[in-house]
Amino acid sequence: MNSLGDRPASSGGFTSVELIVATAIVVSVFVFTLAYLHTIVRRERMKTAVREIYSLVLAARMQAVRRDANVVLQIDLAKRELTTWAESAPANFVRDASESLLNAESLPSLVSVRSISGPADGADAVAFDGYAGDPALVDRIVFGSDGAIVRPQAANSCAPRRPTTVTGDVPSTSVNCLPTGCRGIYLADRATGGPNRNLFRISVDDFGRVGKASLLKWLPPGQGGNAGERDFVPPPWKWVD
Amino acid sequence: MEVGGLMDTSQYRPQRTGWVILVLMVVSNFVAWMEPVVSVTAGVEPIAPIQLKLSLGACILAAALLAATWLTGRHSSSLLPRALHPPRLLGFRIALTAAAVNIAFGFAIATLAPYAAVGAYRVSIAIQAAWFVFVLPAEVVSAYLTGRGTVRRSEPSAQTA
Repeated sequence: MNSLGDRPASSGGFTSVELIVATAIVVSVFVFTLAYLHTIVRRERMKTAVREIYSLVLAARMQAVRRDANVVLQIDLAKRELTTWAESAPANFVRDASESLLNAESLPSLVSVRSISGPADGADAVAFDGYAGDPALVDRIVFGSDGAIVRPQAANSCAPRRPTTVTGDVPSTSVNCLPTGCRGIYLADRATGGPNRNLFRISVDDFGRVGKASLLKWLPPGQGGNAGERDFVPPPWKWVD
Repeated sequence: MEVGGLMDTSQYRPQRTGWVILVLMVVSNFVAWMEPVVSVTAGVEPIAPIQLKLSLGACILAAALLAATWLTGRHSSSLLPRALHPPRLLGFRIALTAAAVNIAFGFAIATLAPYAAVGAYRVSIAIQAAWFVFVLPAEVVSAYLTGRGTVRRSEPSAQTA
């Protein structure tokens, strides 16, 4: 091997320069592959986790229509578990011994359940609270036999509003959650606060009574959301890495 | 003051920046191929495994091809046509153009594809087909010329002198 790397073109073998250049290419391929894969895998995992929970909401609604009965999807933050059951009379929105489970799934470990301003697993992390005048009935979505939800009564579980201004980043199908409360299941990819996280909101019946579920992502004002609003927007989403 | 003692004026002295040109092309290929894949994460639908494999495969294939072509250029002893002189400068210019096109491709797809009426995947396919037809051959030519330009060759006049 020639250490200078400037040997005549006709000689055989590889010079040190050639080996170094080949190594540089391999290293750059390796580094960029890892960097891109890291970003893609992390985002896809989060999306998959959120879509799984979204699917459970849709499935619960479908069961309610199919069974012509109230179906409850409860999110147990302590056990990190989602359970679904069909209500039998009397409808108390609590699972009784006679009510068998339709579905039970664990919350994906990488998902942190927390609202924009509250703590992880806090009172507003799942804002479907207060039913039948009982404030203790929290963290559950109740679907009626028509597919629409039984409206939660707690102050933190109100319906959102439309964004005040429609822009390229905040389309007309976005929602504006008031600071006083906005129903939804809030799923973040990290437990820390601030706008540097990816926060998804799964909700039902934002603007109607047909049981329409929505999957939206928080767009903080610094990233294109309207100033003074808590906008959740449909895809295409901007990610915070 | 004797300047000649400090400066090497030989035009055949190798300039060891060929690796920069190659790495520039290799890295910019990642922008062209992986940014569209990353843009798919903006939607609800998951990334198709075939799309990820195709993109990674294209990047690795291009890197291997460029390295092999560059080595071929360094070991080649055939005469270059006059139009390709100086090969190193020409290779560098082609590499710069290819890198610019790669970056433009990548960011155009990443920015526009999620909003395209025909779907991000079809837009990506169309642009990436163009990459195989135009950019990859240009990069191969650039790598070859860079290889030819980065090795010192014996000049006939020097041998006979």
